[in-house]
Amino acid sequence: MAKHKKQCGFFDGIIQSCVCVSRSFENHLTLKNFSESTSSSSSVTVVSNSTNGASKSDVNEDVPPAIPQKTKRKTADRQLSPYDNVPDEKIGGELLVTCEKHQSSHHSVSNSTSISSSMIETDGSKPPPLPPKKKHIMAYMEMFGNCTHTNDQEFMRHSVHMVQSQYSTPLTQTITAGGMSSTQSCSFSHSSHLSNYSSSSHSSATRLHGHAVLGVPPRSDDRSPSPVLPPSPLSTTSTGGSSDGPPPALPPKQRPRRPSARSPPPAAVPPPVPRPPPSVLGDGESKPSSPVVKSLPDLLEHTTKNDEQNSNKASPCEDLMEMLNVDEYLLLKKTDEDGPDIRGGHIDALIIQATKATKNGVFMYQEAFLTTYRTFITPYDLISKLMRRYNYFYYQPDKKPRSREAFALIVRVVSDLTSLDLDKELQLKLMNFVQQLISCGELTLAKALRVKLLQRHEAKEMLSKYTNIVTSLSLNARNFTLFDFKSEQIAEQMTLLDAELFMKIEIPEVLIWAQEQNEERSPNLTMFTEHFNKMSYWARTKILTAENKDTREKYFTKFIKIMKHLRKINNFNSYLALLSALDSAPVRRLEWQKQVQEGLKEYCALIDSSSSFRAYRQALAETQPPCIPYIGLVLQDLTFVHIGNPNLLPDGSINFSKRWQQFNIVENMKKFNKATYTFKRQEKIINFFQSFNDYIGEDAMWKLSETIKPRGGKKLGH
Amino acid sequence: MSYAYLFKYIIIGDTGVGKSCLLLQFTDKRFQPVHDLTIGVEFGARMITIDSKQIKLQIWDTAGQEAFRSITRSYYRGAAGALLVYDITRRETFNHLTTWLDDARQHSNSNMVIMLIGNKSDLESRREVKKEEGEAFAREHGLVFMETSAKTAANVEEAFINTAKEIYEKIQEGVFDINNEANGIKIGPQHSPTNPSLPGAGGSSGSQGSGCC
Repeated sequence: MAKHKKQCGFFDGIIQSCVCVSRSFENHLTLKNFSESTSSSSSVTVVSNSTNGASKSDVNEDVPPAIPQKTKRKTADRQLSPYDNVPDEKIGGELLVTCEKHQSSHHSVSNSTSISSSMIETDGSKPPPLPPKKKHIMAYMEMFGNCTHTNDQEFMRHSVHMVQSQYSTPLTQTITAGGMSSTQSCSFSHSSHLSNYSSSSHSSATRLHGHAVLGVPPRSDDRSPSPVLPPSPLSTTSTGGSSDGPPPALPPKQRPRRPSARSPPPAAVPPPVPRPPPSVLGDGESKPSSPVVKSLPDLLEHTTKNDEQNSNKASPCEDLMEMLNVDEYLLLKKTDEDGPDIRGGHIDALIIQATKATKNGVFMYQEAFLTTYRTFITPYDLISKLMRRYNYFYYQPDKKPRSREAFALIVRVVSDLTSLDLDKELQLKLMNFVQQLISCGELTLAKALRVKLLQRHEAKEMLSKYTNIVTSLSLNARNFTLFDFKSEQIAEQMTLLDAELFMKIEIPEVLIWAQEQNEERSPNLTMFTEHFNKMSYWARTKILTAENKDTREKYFTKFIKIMKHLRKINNFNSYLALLSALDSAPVRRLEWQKQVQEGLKEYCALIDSSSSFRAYRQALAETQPPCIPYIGLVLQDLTFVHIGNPNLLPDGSINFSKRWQQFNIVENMKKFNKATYTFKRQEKIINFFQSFNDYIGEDAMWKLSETIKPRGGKKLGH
Repeated sequence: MSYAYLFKYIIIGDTGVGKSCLLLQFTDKRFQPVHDLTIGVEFGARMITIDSKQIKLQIWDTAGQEAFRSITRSYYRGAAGALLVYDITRRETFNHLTTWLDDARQHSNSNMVIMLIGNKSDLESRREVKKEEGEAFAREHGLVFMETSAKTAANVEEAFINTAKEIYEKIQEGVFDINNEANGIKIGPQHSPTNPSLPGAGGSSGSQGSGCC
């Protein structure tokens, strides 16, 4: 419950924080959808022509700029504050006009303002054309999906080009025209308009929100926060929760900007550049200590100390993130040793090493780093440090690649964020960063990052929704008995349920569990284990509550048959759950036919614990996905690795060898987390399971067992 | 390595009482990296000598699997000895002893030797459970009792070895049926014709007379 609440709260937060974004997206989206029908890229003319209601409304607000927005200018566009109600045809006409003006010259400000304000007021009555936010986001994502760039790599490449090109032509409009691709140029000009617009448009109260937002995005340089998020909700929350640099800073910054905002937006971009790092840096600095401790108490306890140590002895941490070569802070394996190169090192050095994924041999390291970094640094701090590095090298033409590498890693980190990682703070931080990117003209990068961010957000949302569905499923229909279904089908349906829960488990949860057994931080894993236990108790109950010996045996045999199928389809989880039921003391001590008993032995062999489950491990190694492994063993391995290996090396740096071990263990699990089962879901059977909630307590089981066969009987089960 | 007997132990108790640390301290080795996951590593095994006989202790630690409680119970069964651990700085871990004990008694064979261990004796300043309380509980339930510190290693050896001694005595007395592997005792390879390396069900040390030692 608590979890859910949290999620909801979180979600609200996100929504709030996203409001501006989504709003801005809305324009974008509508535009996009719109344009999609015609063509993907943004041609000004197309947009203007379109008479689509939604698009119009959006356009109205932004009137002048509206057209180009599609690709690049998300922030600017979305401003449409009040969900865009569509104006009338005449609006369209005006739009056209404005657009034309737009194209011809940049100073449509006065016109646009007047238009927009009037429109809004008139629009009020119209039904909101836009679907609920979520849809917007989805639409937005779709649009991006259709967008020019298909994969991250391309983004990256583009980004590099952009960076370079921009750098070469550092200033203002020239960028738009020259450095940017055709699509981009449009958006840029648009943005400039917007900013002008916004600055001048303060007059109408209703509009204010939209305007503020509008104006902000383009220029927010160092302090992206303000623009992206309306200061009110976010700043308050963030400050309340824990340190948050940005919020407080925002208000002041915005003001100063405004005047300058006047200047063409592109021009504005470079100026902020000069000292973006400081701002980001500031954030990073302030956060690390408090939030870290808060969010990862056990995990980071030692690490934090060590970190301090390091900083004292080695060098100021900050410097490390700005260094090109950090090899001296890494502990490499000795030449005669086997295994991976990197054995340990200063946190920052490890991070920097992870940015060098393109280098030979670093790829696996990066994977291991991404899988395990949470055991020594929070996602928030990691991202902060990377941002700092990005910013630091951004302004050094010859070292741009370092900046790019840092960015690439940020994207990776973001795309691997779990639902729990993505809290308000982090969300805010990333939004701000996106904002910063936009204001620096790094639209492609901004897009790449934002897409990832939205995906994570979406995933999180889906998760909570899904959970609800699952729990609500189990109603009615209990006329069936286990014998009404084929063993094979039962096995398949059990597997579908398992798979559903298994897929939800996020690797970091597993790592965390092995270290601190915190149910709140490993919610999906907890659900999974609970499911396992329930299945087992459910099966015991079925057997023990059977009305007579024959039925009992029938159940016992049926479960064995089901296990046989479970084994066939590589569902070790349910297999073990049932086995643990048949093998449980209250069941096992009853007298069973020799035959039945012997049959069970064979099944037990699979999980014989000798040599640390050698039989099972071997079976697993020979298994091809899809498969659902027994996670208890993964947890046990991780627990031993955790207890048996120190977090830190004697010199206080991170013991990365331990992380390699953890990585290897969870990799094995990851492999199975991807493939899916294709059985058809049969509601009849699923309903029959009743989520396996129908079981009696252990005491009751014992009582039944002893009623069936009084204690003191000489025979043990065997 | 050859041994006369193999005793299986389990370590039970609440999460965080230091079960695995005790084991680690006793077996005196870091848990080795598991590079090839198909090769199981016996985490908690160590040879000791009792009555000039080599005895291999194989300690089964369910750490990490506690959440799968429906399955961990089944590990009790094949154990000759159990270390029931609580944390002297956390009263609740002491309060849960009864539950653990019931569990163990229900699921294991009745001859299992259970040693009660109050761990973390190095944290005297934070002690919440008096030593006398532990002693009283042990007396009441017929357990052997000891306070240990997995951190300083105080009494750790003794805890494991004393338990082994009790088991050994029971064997001498003929209380344990050493031919039934479900009792957690195996006769060493050189004492038995069967192949003990066979995992699980097949590995019973079989037909050989019990009188070998």
